[in-house]
Amino acid sequence: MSAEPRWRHERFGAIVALDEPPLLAHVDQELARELGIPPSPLWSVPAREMLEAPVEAHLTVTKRCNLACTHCYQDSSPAAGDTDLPLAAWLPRLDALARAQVFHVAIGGGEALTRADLIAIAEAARARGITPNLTTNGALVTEAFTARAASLFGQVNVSIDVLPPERIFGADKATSGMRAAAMLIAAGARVGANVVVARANFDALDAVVGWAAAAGLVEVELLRLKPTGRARVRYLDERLTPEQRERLFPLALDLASRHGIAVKLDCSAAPFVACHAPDADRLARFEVAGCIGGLSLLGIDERGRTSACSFYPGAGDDVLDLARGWEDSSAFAPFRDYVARAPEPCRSCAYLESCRGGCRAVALFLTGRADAPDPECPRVAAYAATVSGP
Amino acid sequence: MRDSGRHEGEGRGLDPEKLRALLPALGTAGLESAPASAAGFRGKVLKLRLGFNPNSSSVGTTVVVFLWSLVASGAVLSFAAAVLAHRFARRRQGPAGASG
Repeated sequence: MSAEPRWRHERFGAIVALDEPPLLAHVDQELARELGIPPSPLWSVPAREMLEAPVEAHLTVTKRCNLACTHCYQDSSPAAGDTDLPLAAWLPRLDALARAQVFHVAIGGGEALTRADLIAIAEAARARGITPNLTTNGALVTEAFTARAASLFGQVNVSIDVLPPERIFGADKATSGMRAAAMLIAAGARVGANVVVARANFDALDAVVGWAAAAGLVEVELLRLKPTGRARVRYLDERLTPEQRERLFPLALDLASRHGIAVKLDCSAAPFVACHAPDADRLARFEVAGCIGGLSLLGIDERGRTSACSFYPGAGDDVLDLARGWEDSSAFAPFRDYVARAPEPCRSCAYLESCRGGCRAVALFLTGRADAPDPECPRVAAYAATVSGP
Repeated sequence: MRDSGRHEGEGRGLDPEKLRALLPALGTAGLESAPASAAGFRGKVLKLRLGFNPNSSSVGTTVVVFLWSLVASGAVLSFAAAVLAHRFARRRQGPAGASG
């Protein structure tokens, strides 16, 4: 892993990234100068919320998966994959990301390890100065893979939704995930766990976090179930209850404290953090943020087409055209315009700028509107009850 | 909607020292190697994100770092500036490095 700092100019100064220790810092113009970063014409351009380019791109390198989970946001299955780009087509698209000075790519699928050339894709990213990270269900992880993955990927997250292992969301991912995590850790990889949090496994989080801490993982990321792909079918039955939504943030804090491991909530959980009235300034300084789709995050599907996030439809723009698309693509408008056009109760919410109205994908599914507040936000739900009356 | 007016974590039995101990696992173990002289910068770190985001579907909200920031958020940002200065200085002294 590279110990060299990487940086790029932004209007506020610069973004600096390190792999070891892994951090990403926004620095002001003064500190940029002091670090030896040369001044940029950008520094005299008025500030704006969106960055000059994505910091991170999520690559769906395949729609194929060895499993067919009911909560899959991609509609992946063993039969999918016909539309996947070959390696040769990914290379110029990685070039486009490198030209934009994207720092990280998060590689996933489908199941990325169903591609025989996954390592080659990750190596191509690394060769272009982009740190590859990976999410896998672990079933196809081999000793040969772990030997290379340990030094190639910044971090590998395995998907484990419940412990002890049982069939949930149509599959048992825990058995293979635990095996893969042990192999990767033994090989020296930095490993985390992903947990899709829904009504049925909410009470199992303690067991997963406890296992992760004991097994030597570095973090557990709790991902809110979202109504995209196949997950739309059972979303209304499987989503978190209102009471669970309010309990999620204090539960995450409690799990982190008791088990001594980092616990993260994904961006879509921002309303469930904000409802506990945390310090808004600290939220901003440590990037405890809600939706950053189209601001610093880019989704790229298996055909190379961009979107503001992996859960939201794009406009058909190819990442080959990123230099233009990042500035102009219509796909980013619901994300970039939200704060300026936010309706109540978001407009008067102290957390509007950090939360950004919750998850656009949830809002679109439940209301049919891309610009609606996330209806599952406790504050939005309370407001709706007030407006509609008893 | 809860609005207790408290900082998150207060009254929930959280142990700041235990949370502080989590930082190495988040990838800040290198911060302590930064030279003390690096603390004299006029510029500042505006935002800091620790760790990677391997997840292909979302960017994480780093709950633990946020909590730790309640103890000494300014110190964390200063440490980050120091480690960056250390790395840039080492790069200037060593063979030509990549960046920019």
